[in-house]
Amino acid sequence: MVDGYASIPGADGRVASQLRKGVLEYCVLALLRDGPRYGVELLAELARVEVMATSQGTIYPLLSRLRRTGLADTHLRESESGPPRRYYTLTDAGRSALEEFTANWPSFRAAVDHFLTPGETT
Amino acid sequence: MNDTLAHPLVRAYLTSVEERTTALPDVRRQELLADLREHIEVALADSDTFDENSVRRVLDQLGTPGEIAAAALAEEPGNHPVPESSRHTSVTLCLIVMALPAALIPVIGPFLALAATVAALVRLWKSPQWVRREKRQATLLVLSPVVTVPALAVVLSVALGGLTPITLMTALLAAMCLPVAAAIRLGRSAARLRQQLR
Repeated sequence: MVDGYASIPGADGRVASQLRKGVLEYCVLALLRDGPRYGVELLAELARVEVMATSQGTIYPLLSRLRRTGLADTHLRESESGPPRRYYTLTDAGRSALEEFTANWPSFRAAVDHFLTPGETT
Repeated sequence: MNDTLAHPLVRAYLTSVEERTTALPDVRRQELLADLREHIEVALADSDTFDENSVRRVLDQLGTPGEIAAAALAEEPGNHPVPESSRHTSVTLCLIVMALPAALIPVIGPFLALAATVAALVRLWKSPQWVRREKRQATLLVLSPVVTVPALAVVLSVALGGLTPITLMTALLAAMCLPVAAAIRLGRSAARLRQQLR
């Protein structure tokens, strides 16, 4: 559990799921920024942040789209215990998509904060 | 490690996902199932124990088959049924149900039946709230009286000794079952969609 995100009421409600829709794929790309991760590990990492915690299986269609659109790549790697693991890596296209999002996010966040803060828009 | 996939809970889970994703392109569906199979195998290999509880925990974390199917369908471009108003839907379903009885009206009956059938099918195929598979099935059921009415009339007239207005009427009413079944299925599917997106 990450401090500060611990329990926001309605983290599994409609608002939370609408918010997640736009940013989830960039959070996944960000998790791959520092090196390859295998699916189960990637989803566990995502689930550690309650706001992003969604049923893990619902991320697989998203991962499939990232593979298809060339933002992420996968390769199988043998494991000491159990079956081989499918590792996800960030492609160059994925890296630039993440950079673009990272550049846009602060002004987007500031804009939303601006509208939400009482007395800011009068 | 194939024994994990043979576990009855896992098999039931994967079958359920498979049943709910018939609207997906086949490639996509197989890929999703392969991803889930892989996830279950790896997650169980990663957990310290392999028993009923760990299987349940892995499946719980994955989410319900319904959630996963919905997420997969949402990723597909141009594959989203869009609900229509319940009034618009009711008119379409009424046309489907009333087409055959309309044939009983003297003189103009057959023309009315034909017009209602054509109107119902045009509305059905233009509607964005049913997927192609549902439309195909409904079309077959709506057109079934073309075959079932004559067939039933022959059977009944043999059984009851001669073709009377009564046997014809009975054949018509019996043949209504299939279009009515089509209307019920379409109505349920439309109601489910409206419910989902509320």
